[in-house]
Amino acid sequence: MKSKIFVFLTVFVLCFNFLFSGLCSAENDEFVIGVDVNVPPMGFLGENGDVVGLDIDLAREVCKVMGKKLKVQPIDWDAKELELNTNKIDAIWNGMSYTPERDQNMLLTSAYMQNRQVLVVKKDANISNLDDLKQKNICGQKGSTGITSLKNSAVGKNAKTITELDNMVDCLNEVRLGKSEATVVDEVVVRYYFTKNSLQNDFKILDQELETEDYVIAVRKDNLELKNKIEKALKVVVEDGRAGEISKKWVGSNVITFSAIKEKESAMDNKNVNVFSELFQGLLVTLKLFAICWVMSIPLGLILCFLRRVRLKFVKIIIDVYIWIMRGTPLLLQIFFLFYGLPLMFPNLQMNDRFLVGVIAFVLNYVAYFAEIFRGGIKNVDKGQFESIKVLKIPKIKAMFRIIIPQMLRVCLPSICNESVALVKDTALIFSVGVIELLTTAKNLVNTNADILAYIIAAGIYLLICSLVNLIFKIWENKLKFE
Amino acid sequence: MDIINAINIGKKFGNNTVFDNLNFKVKKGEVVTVVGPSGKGKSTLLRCLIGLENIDSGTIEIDGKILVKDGIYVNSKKQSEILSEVGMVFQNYNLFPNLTVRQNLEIVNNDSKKIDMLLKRFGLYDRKDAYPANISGGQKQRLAIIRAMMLNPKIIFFDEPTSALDKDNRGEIVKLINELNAEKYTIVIVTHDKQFVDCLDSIIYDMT
Ligand SMILES: Nc1ncnc2c1ncn2[C@@H]1O[C@H](COP(=O)(O)OP(=O)(O)O)[C@@H](O)[C@H]1O
Ligand SMILES: [Mg+2]
Repeated sequence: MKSKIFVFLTVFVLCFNFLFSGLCSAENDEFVIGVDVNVPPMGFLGENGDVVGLDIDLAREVCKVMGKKLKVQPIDWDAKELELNTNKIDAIWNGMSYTPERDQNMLLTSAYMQNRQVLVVKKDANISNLDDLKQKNICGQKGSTGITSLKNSAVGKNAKTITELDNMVDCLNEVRLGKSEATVVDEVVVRYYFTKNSLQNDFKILDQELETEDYVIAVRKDNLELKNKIEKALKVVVEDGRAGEISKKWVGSNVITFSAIKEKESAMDNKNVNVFSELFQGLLVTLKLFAICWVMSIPLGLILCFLRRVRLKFVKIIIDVYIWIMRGTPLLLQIFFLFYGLPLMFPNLQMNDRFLVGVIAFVLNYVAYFAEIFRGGIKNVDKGQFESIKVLKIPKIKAMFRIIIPQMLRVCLPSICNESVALVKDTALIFSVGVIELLTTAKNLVNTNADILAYIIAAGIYLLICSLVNLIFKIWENKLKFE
Repeated sequence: MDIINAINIGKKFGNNTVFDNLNFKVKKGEVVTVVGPSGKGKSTLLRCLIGLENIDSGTIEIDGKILVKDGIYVNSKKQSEILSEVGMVFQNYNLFPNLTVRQNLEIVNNDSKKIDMLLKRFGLYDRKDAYPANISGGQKQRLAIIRAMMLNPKIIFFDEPTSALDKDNRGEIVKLINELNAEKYTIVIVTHDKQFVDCLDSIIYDMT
């Protein structure tokens, strides 16, 4: 017995050790950069699982100059401001474009490179500048920055047709096959692609761009010292040619043109986002989702529970397997499966209404839980009740609604209440298919304002809803006492 | 004339033969008490006669109509029709706890005149809006009796009517049964309470 306690204590202490060592990891000679690992060639997962890329190489050289050790931390791009402002990372360095909002929330370095939206044509094409593209067919990637700036530009307005394709490779193939004369692409990305696949001799990039983005590095607002250090080190790396080498390695030419002179006009129209009205919009979505799911899951759960009692064995088996799967797999996985998986399996089954997909996934999941709760409830109804109903020849449906269900509910209400409160909180999972509800709204607000207030308000709102649900169930329980 | 006629009936639960080749007859207007130690199959007999259990062999006729012949039942619609002649007061009454006294009757037969009349006659009228949990044992039993009467049966079964009552209430149930019998109800009572049987003027059917 004593040895068991000893083992337990040892494990306990070890766990604590582990926790605290995790908490206090910010060593002083480390320089931690946050990176979204899906941005080739700036930062992405290499063949052996390490994060590699132009930015990573550049940051490593800058670290050498600063005398620090580089640590690359993969982050959720949507939470980058938060990662920074809570000291989890020291800098964001990941092909991040300058925007006035970012300039307000973080301290930005001068631009260390420009990424341009450029037009690519066949090497031997008789096109050398943007004017030559009049009445030509141009393509671009659906939803990209490039296609947007193309549509807004004179080039786009004078084009014969604009075709939107799924990805850059398809766009280049269009041009190669002559279906389009030109395609609009991201310069850094296309240069990386050309270098990687040795296509420099098949295509050419027109000199004039449609739009230019400045890539900057961000540090915490109060960390002027670090910003200056980075800029100084960057200058060294650019001037001694190391930056050029790195750039050539990744994109075949030197696109790093750091100059500390460039002054940005910080004068942005102070878009004062109203935290309350935005959260209210999110709240409406959350409430709508909760109400619809709740109202649908409970009756369906009841129906499933009664269907299970029908004397057909295979119906019972099907329902049991269904409940087993729904209760044994993560709700998030079910949502993903419905939204991304089903359309892959059945291409005709394109469900594009994200909210609807969310509702279906939630209802399918919660029906299983409610059915299981009701199953427990119906077991608790005395056998004598069913015998009375039979002997007194009370019609089945009437007996179900007037006798069985009320008695079941009395037993089940606490569990239904728990499940309903869980549903309130689970609604947040619908963010995974891109529906913005209360929690996601709060998260976005916290990120853009770099202020925790929205989280606190959201927490308060969730608490309020859950308490309200609890209260309603307490009242309902009292009504079902039958005394 | 026999209102209940069970001939050579047999009932098994798995390997457990409760009874075999049992004959049980009740004449119209009789009070019959089925006695014997517990576990002998008295309740099972009642349950077979009212269709809550199916017999394995034999024939049952109720009021001259065949419910089951040589172990083969008539269709469920006919069964239901035949069995509407029989009401039952369960051992623990099986009232509907979520319904008030009055609702317990309405759900069977929404004849409000009859309900009011019976509630008044059995002294339950001022408790008509109470839930079963809030009335006394004797009141519960009377409610169960009224409920059994709602479908106008000719026969009423009682399973152990004295088991949930204290000794002082025994006189009351004897009085009630005699009253019902005076109204031409045929009554079958299952009990292992010998003193109770002594108080009744009944035909005794011993299952020992
Ligand atoms: N539903 C059932 N399943 C299995 N065995 C049962 C069931 N009901 C009663 N029995 C058995 O049948 C026998 C008779 O029971 P019962 O009719 O309740 O006796 P009594 O009413 O005379 O006390 C007992 O052995 C009991 O265990
Ligand atoms: Mg018994």
